[in-house]
Amino acid sequence: METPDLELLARIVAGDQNAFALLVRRHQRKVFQLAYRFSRDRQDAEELAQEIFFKVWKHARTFEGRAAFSTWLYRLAVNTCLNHRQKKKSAPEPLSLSCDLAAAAETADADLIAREREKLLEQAMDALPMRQKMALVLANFEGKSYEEIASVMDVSVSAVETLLFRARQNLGKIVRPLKNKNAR
Amino acid sequence: MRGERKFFYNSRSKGVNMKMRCKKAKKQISLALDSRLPADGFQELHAHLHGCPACRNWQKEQQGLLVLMKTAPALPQLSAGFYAALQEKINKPLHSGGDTSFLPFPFRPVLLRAAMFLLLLFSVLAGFVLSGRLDAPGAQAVAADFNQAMNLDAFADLPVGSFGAVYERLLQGGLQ
Repeated sequence: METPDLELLARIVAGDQNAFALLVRRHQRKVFQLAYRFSRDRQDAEELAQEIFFKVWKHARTFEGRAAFSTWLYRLAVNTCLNHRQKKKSAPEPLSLSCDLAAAAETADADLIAREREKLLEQAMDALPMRQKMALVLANFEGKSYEEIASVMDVSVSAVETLLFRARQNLGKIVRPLKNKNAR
Repeated sequence: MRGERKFFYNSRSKGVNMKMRCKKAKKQISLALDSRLPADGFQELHAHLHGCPACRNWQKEQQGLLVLMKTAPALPQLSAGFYAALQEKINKPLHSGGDTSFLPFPFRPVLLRAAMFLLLLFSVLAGFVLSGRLDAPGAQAVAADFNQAMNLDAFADLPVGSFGAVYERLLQGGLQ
């Protein structure tokens, strides 16, 4: 029988490091994946995941239990990722047109084409505004519902709809010229 | 974008079912991709897509992107030392301002601030007490003795701060 998250959290508030270890082990993969999908850098993602769990340790007593623990954890994770990006203030990398789909097609290497497509998508995602990117990551990679995204990002459901619509619109605008260039 | 608008107005004039604007249609496509579009909205969208190649292309493009996202490659794994590093972080004191290991007691910045405040308070109070003592009659007697010993009364008629006059009187042997 698995110890519920809330029980572990109560033990964490009392300073129990074993409970913290259990909670981390249970959620570390999800948190790391979200951080990685947002930062696209393994080291950055690990640092972010550590910062997120450190906040859980530090602020465990502030959890009021109004939402599920996983929602609270995701909210911490999303805010940490967004703040981290703001702190870095790194402008998105300029879209290099290195994705040569045509060249890949010539070599008839399906793996190479797939890799180039992934690269194209990653570059386009990086060029999106942060909140749009986060909404897209939560919806399409993490499989979260609109209601969950709204709760995690602290916005209304209609704001989520708008964020996702704009993200898709922008993604299309970014990807189109690259695809056209590569198709030539 | 301009092409879409042109298409919208032309098709409306031809009486095609194009009541829905392309922007709204795209919003609905976005909802449909996440299975959030209600049945009536779906019918409306279907009617719009039937007569709008621009929106059909957009839908196709978005479906392609969604497939690409869903088939994203496996993510890297967390490093083995992840929890050890995290544990080190949580065991570190929150405000570690330099090396304080030489101290015979644990360093507490709050206590240091409190001690500094008490010291300041003590010096202010001591200032008040001392100034009170200087005004006391005994203190005045001590000051009179000092003036006599130093022959300072020789300068008593000079205005305060007139250093030039004090200097002249000294030259004239005022202290003797």
